[in-house]
Amino acid sequence: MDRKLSVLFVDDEPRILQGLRRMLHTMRQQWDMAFVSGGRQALEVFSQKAVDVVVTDMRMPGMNGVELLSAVQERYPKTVRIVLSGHSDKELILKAVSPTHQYLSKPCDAEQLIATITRSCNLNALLTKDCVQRIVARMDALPSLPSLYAQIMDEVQSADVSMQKIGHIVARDPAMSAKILQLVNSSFFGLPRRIADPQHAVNLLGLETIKALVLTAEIFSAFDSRNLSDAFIEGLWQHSLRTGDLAARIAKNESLDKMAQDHSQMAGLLHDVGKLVLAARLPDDCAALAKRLAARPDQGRIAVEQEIFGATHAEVGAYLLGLWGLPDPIVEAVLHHHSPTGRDFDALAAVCVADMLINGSLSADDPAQVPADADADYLSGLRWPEKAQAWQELYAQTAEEKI
Amino acid sequence: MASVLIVDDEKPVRQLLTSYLADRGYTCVVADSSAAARDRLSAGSFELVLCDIKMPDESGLSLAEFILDSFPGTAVVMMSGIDDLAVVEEAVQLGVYGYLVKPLERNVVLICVINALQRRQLEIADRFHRKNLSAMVEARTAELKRSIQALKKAQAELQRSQESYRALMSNLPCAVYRGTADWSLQILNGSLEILTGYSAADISRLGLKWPDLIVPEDLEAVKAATRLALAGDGTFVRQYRIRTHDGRIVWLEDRGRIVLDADGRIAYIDGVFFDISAQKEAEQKITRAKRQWETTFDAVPDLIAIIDERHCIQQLNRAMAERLGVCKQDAIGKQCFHLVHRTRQPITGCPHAGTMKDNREHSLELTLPELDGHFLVSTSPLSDAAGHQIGCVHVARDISTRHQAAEELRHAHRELAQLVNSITSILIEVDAAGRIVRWNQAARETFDLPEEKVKGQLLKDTAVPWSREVVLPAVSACCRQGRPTELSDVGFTRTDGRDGFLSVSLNPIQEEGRKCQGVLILAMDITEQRILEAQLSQAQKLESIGQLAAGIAHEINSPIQYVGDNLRFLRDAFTDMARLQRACDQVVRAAQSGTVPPEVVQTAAKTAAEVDIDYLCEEVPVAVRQSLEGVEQVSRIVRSMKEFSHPGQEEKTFVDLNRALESTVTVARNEYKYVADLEMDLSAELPPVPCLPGEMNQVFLNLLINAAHAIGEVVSPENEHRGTIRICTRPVDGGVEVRIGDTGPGIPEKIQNRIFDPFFTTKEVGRGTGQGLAISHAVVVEKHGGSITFETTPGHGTTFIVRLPVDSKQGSHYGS
Repeated sequence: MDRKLSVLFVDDEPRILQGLRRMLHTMRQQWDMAFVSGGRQALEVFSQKAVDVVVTDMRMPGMNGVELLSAVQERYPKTVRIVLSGHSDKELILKAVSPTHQYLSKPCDAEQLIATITRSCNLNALLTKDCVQRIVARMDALPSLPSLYAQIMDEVQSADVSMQKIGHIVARDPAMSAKILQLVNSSFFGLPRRIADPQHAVNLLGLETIKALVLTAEIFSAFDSRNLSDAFIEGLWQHSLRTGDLAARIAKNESLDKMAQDHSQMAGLLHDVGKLVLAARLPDDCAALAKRLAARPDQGRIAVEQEIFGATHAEVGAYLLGLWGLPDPIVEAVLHHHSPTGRDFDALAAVCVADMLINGSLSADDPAQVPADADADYLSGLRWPEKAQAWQELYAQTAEEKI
Repeated sequence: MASVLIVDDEKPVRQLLTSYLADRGYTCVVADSSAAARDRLSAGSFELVLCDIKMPDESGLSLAEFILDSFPGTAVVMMSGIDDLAVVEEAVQLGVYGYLVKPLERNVVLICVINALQRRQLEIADRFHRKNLSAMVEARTAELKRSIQALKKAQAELQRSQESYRALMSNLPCAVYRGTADWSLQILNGSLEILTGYSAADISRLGLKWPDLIVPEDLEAVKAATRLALAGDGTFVRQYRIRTHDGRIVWLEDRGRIVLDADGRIAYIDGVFFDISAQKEAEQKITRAKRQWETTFDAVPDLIAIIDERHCIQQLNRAMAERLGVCKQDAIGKQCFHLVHRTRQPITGCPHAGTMKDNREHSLELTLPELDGHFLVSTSPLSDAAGHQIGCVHVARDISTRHQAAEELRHAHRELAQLVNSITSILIEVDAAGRIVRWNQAARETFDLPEEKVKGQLLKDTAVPWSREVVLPAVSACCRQGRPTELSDVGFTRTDGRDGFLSVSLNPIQEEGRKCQGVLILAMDITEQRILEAQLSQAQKLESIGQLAAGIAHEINSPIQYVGDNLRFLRDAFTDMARLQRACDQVVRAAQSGTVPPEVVQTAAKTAAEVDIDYLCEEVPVAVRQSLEGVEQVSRIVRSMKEFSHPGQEEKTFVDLNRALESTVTVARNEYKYVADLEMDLSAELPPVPCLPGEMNQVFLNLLINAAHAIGEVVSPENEHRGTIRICTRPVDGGVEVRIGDTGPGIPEKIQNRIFDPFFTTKEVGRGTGQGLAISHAVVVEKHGGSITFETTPGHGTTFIVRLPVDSKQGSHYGS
């Protein structure tokens, strides 16, 4: 990174700002920090220089945090938007859900604050192309499969709404799962935990909050499928669901702990979330991509994506999930699922293997055959082909789900 | 017709005469000679003989002589062609009846025949009379003698008869009269004067006729009767009134006959007058009595019928007919059960049957849906003149209303009893002597004392587990003074052995202007209510705490945040300063050893630059100061919270309201600081006020939050305008006054009288329970005897004014 990360702190309490400045004095070499006491002053700073990360209080006289972040989302979408608030006023938080990437609760220790800010600027490096970065950073909701969206709307409005059913629906939709995980993993609702299981996340949020989120904050939306074929959308969903399922099975088979299993499942479900973002936001480019791939099957998808978008779908997905504060193992697994490294069997490995088994590029029938773009050393590090038979059996246990 | 013998020797004459006479109907016999005539005469009798004078055998005259002698009853007419007067004379001498001269003319012949026959008739009669006259005279003489005797006898009898007739007439109780067509009349057996008071002289002087005496309105009926009589056989009976000379009205019955003359005109009228005044009077009395009776009968609203032994209705009054929906005539003769009950036989328990059996009165109460009512039916025996029972007088009285009233009364009693038992309040009634007369279900359940154990007992002797020392004197006082009394929070022991509270109200039972007859004790177990009230109060406190919690969290989180940040900075600063210290130590030690190598000084200088010692020297004291301030702020908030909520503070204590307000604004700071600045003007002379600090703080908090919300309605982030909340306190006469004012929109006039109502809120759903001001009002007015009012100017703001008495016992001074 050639220039200092530009970070803007907004709080109406001067002593907070002073405290932050002193505490972050040590970061002065890496960060270019500004401290202002209100929304209007913050927007003035924006007008004068590029801001990479804005950290704001929620309740402030005049323009409050939500209003500030909404304005920033609109005018400076590339900026990472973080709330640092001591409030637990649910109404205000619900309003903040949409424009906020991450939510930090006061009191927040220096390490967490620094880690959050650092991580977001690391993400920025993923996407070199401004336009993609802008698109992704601006996204406040991913599109859900229309049928699942209809189901969740019905369920939250039904008389005998059940957490179980909501969890089940959310877990089958990458968009909903990602959003719900964002909400619990960011401390919007004061739940400072790294959660990777959507059902668990739903239970933690509670019925009333879920209903408020779905109906009032409108955190979910249905895919506008006019731009894309049903086959593409369904194929994507089915592949995502199955990858999540298989990744979890493989993780379990490899004796990973419960958390890692959850990470594997979620990473599997979300590994192609970047395709979703691109399809939703850049449908024309996606169409061009599909044409190119059809015309030149020999060209790797990753290379063509780089060419068209300046980023791969893995990078786009990881960027978004990172912005949303999902657990690192998930973000990393998504980011690297086409370029895995490392020797330990982790969520990334589970997703990679599951992905390849499902798309048929890896098979126990011919274990020696590895895909051209795959790292043969990496695979052997995962003890392929010894494991081929076992994993192939696990693959056989999964079924393509009808949506 | 008469038979005629025609005697002529000339055949044409015989034929001619026969043709004349036969035409007129006479029987004609002919003889051509006297001898033949003699034969004929001896063979039969003739009324007339037409005889020719000149005949060959014997002259006609001789024959005529013979005939007149031998057959004196036969008329003879002579015929002759000889117009010889001597012959005629001779014939007339003989005594012939006529003389016809030939040639015989028809009419002359016929006239002569008719005359002869006529004369013969007369002569026969004359002859007969003459022959009988002497005998008749003799017979008559004898007869006359007999008649004279008889006449004498008759005269004597007549005289007797006349006398008895006269006696009869005068003895008759009536006046016999003869009237004439011109309406004058004569009394035959007395005088008109006796009857009418008018003397004959009066009548002639006044020119009175009978009709003049008749009462004018009866006159037409009299005339009508007359006309009727004339149309019939002439007899009449008429009754009418006359007015006598002295003005009396006399009723007459006038019976008689109208006699007509040969021309059909009224010849005279014979009749008798009976004076029927007495009879008429009696009749009228009877009629009147009957009418009175019938009217009475019909006027009675009861249903009355006279019913014979076969249950047949003999008579019924209008009420009954109307109730049955029939007309009287249709009902009479019908069987009552059929008509009334629509049954084929008398109903069971029919009182009529009973009365018929024992000749006594019977009665029965029954509902008759057919007649839409409830009736009391009574029957009384009815006997004929001989004392035989012939039926019943049957009276049915509609007692529906009474019955219904009685039913309603019973129902009301039942309901009352049920009500008394079902009300959840305890209801005990004691009489003036203090005896329990009523003890309801709730009393039984609350005190676990059954009614039979306490009813009739003196209240003071019963083991009701309540504060006897409170209740009993109050009951006596209530009865004595006749004034209702309320006792709140009367302690009692509940059935589970725990303490409870009763709310008791005592009401004297008293009728207008009379002495108190007892006391109605109404009591309610308000233990649960008291618990709920306590819970509600706690709930409201929790609600306001909860309302504050988010704000307070923020208020605390901010200082914690910067205190933490500063401490981390201080930690890092200390590390850097320690490092610099070590570098400086090196310099110091080198200096002590005599030589200071330049690299040591260089290192120290470099370290000083690295740690940015100037920045640290500048910032550390500030960081320490601000941290201490932060800690102080947190302590203050925590302290204020404690002061604000006053946990466990149940008793009134003397409170410095200034301090209470300060802690309230501290905890509530987050509620207003984004919209308003606070100005406080607290009087240093404010005396301590006895109050429940927790509750009073809640009042201030409610008012403060309302003020903030009111300002929030008129300020917006766009205009960055802020309102002002102004709190001031000052001592007032006998107490203190707290004013909390805002610069909000003011209270609209139409809701000004509702703002203290429970659950009234202008805030959106979910923001406040609507209880804030209601509870504030209750706390200030009821618990502290103070007042809470407001002044508001639309568009400028509202100020709430709380006044609290310094001496809470004189709180009524502030009661609003």
